[in-house]
Amino acid sequence: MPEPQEPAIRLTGVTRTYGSGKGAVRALRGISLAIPSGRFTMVVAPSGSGKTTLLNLIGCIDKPTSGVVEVAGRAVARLSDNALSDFRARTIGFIFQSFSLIPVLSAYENVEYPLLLTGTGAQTRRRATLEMLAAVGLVEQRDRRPNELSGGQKQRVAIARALVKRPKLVLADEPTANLDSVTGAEIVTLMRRMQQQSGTTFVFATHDPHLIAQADEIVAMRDGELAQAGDIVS
Amino acid sequence: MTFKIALRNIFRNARRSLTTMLTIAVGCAAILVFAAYALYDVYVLQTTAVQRGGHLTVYHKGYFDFGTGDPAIWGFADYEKIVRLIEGDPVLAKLARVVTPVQFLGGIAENPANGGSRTFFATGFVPAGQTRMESWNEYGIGARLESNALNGDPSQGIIGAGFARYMGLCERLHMTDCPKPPKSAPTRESDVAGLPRQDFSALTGPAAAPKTPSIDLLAATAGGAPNIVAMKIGRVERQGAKEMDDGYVVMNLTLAQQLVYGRGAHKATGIIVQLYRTEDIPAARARLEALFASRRLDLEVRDFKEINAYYGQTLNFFNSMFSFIAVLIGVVVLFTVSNAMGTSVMERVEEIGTTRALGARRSAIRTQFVSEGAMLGALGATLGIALAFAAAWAVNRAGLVWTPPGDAHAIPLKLYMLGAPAVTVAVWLALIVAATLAALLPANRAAKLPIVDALRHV
Repeated sequence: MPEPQEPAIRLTGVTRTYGSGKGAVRALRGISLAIPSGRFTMVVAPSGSGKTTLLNLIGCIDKPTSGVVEVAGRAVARLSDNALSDFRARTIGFIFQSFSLIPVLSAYENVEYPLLLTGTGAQTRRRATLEMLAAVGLVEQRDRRPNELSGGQKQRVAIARALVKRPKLVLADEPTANLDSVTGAEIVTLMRRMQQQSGTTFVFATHDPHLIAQADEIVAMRDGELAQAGDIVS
Repeated sequence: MTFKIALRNIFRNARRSLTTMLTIAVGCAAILVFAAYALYDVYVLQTTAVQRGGHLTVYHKGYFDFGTGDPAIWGFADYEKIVRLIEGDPVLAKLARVVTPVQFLGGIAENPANGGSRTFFATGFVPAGQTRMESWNEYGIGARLESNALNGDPSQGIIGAGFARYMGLCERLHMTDCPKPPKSAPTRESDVAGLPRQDFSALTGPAAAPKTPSIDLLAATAGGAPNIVAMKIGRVERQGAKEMDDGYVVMNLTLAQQLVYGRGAHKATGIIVQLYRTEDIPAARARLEALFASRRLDLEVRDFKEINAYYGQTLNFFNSMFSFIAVLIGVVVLFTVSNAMGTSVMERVEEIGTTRALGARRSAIRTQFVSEGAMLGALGATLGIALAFAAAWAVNRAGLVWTPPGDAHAIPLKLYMLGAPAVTVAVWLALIVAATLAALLPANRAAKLPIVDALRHV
């Protein structure tokens, strides 16, 4: 296991409030934390405690109400929308609970898509895509569209899509929630193996005990605040 | 990839896309079929006008505005020299198909057999020139238009059906659909109506019973004296407009000159120039005007659109109709595509959130949906062109006939699809632009979706 380096993510006094006035919902209440690079970090919390909000802020798809979010050493709050898009395209891979593959693209094209966003050349793109499909064991299924794949295969494609551009950070929100336990366990093993191979920082929001069991680090949350891991994970 | 995603999404919801494309296609076909119909009509009108009066007419300067009421005094004596001048010009020789003099005149006509009389408006042609003019068919109009060509007999002419009715010639000319005046019709018993007949008889000498029906034509000569000639009726040709039909006379130029100029020097009111191609009008006109200016000839040139005001009016009518239909269909396309794209955006909110999270810029999302609208427009418009050609093919073979405005004879109803490729291309492009614009609003909405909300969308 690689030694912890500079934090991949640093949050300082981060709050996120939805709405205003009496109806305002404070999803995050002054979170300060550092997530180390190259680790398998789990954000664990009961439902509604703000773990998805935290992941959204780290993933630069949402902005904090206050506080500073630094990802890969860069404060992202003041970046323009285009700069944030480019930053995400280069730096962050996403794995979603519902797979979120583009339905009109084949498995190959779904994996290739992030490379197109980064302007990678055709030859490199093809090589990297096939390598990643091979790594997740889906070379044979590369021409299939998402509706022709099983849940586990879809999530493998999603993992390949998240890793194909060799991002510094992969965020996965409940990646096993829509899979049966056997497939979920396979996916956890696969992600762990790929994380070890690539040294990429993985941050999960999860309830899945199989996944939590693989954690290098655990960030526990309750009611929008950090909590003791022992309070959350039994 | 953006275009690939856009194209595949069109086929993703095939039924909705097909409905949208069919709406565009039917709209496109409707515009093109109307354009083809209008174009054919305009070409028929133009062909009729050019066959009868050429593209350009040379008059004495001022005739067109001030002389049509008294064409006899506006004739020019050296018309044959001018005809030769035009024919001999190297530029005009390449452009002009027919150069022929013409004499316009008006007067009073009488049927010596029964005393029927009325005013007439006549044109005197050189039969050879007129016959050649009638063979002009630049647009390959399938219809065989009514011929008003004179035969070689200088004493024979052609009259309108209404004119024949006034002259009481229906029976002698074996005309059907030619009513007789009611018995209660008022007549003039003892007024000047009788005078012309007596005067005509005096001028023409004792009337013999001709085998071919004939009429006497009385007109004032250029010098102001009354003159009369007898004209045999070679043929009756019904005209579209009643006021024209009731006084229509076409005669040999020699006979017209004999009537207008008597024993004096024969002149012509105009010289008709028929070109090979209508598009050469500006060049030919400019050349004629330069030629006349260089020789200090006091002549003016008018084109057939100025002379036949109804042609321009018909053109304007069709243009306004075309614009109205095009705008109407454009609005339908706008709403249909906008609605289809709006639904598509709503169905793909999560997909939009995913692609944005992966790093696609807002502009990429916008481009994707706008491309989708443009592709729907392109596919629909292309299908529409195919539909229009199919409709034209069917109509052109159905044997339908109709009577154009201002004409008295039914002609085949044709759709001239190949007549204006620029219109087809313009309609195709306009519909794509309309579909693209229609997609712009939903595309902007898609591009501006907050990523987090889009990812949460179920």
